[in-house]
Amino acid sequence: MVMDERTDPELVKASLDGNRTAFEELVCRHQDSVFGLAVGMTRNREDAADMAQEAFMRAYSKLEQYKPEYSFRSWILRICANLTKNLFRKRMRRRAVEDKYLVQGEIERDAVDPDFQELEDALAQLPPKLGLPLRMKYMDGLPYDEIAQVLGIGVSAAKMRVMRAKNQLAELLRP
Amino acid sequence: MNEDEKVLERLAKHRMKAPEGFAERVMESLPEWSKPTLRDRMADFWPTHGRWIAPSCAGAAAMLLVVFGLGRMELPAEARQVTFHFELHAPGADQVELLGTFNHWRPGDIVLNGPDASGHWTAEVALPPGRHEYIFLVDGERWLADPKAATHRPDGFGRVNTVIKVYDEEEDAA
Repeated sequence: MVMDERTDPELVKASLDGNRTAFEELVCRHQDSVFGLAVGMTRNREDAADMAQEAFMRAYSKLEQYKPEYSFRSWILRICANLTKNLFRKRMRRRAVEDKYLVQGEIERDAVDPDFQELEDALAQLPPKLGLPLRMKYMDGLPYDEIAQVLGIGVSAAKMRVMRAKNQLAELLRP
Repeated sequence: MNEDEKVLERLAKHRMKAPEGFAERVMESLPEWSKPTLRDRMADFWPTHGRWIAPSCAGAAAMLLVVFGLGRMELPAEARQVTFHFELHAPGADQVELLGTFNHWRPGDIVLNGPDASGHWTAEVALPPGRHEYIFLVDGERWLADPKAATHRPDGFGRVNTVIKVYDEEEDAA
């Protein structure tokens, strides 16, 4: 398989010119990050897949609003985070929130690599405001400024949350 | 390696994978783009299996239109452009740029003229009718929404864009 060496902004430009393959390349590049974020927020793979798909659809329809000076990854992650938050708000309004959305639950056991089950269980016990930045920092390798952009917080707040999450996770995993 | 470092190493190795076939599902769910590439258009138009009738008729119709209708034709609404006047008061600035949805937010693409004696920078830009977002970039480092405009919208990354709707006066009058 030949790697597409175009940058994300170049792929966006090509997509705006009507090249669907360019957008597909963007989906392939960022699907794991977007899905990972959605899993971290919803703790449910089916909802996460729906949210991730919706995020890419929304990004496609709003592609002309993307500014090349920003990272495409943080742009699409931010869209996904906002969509998922809105989903929760709607469910809250309908008073039909299942327990799994209100308390920290576990991601379905069959969905996680057994080698990482203990880690995933511990991650699930962290509050989302700590778990999400930790996932983005260490599982996706996002720099602090991108994490701050995705979550809509300051860079120092992002660093603080990652540090607190790291300490809590180490505590939870201590034998 | 201490316990904290081991935890971070495990985290770095643990990547969530999107479900199998996710990208294909996304692509199937996308609407058809309204601006296909030339290659796509050619692929759709060019006859296969010896079917030449449709393109031949289309060619003949096009020739007729050119011969009889050229003088009477008007540009479609979306092809019309409306000249829009942009202006920013920035007396101390060395350069003011305009970035927006209409130029794909490209820095350096539209540079305003100025400053005039009163410190105003201006540009006339032809825009298609519709909704546009833009922002001014002063001296390559200061981002400013248009203070004279009524509608603004946060871009989600800490800046505020100005929103305008451009109407085609000819079309509205008709």
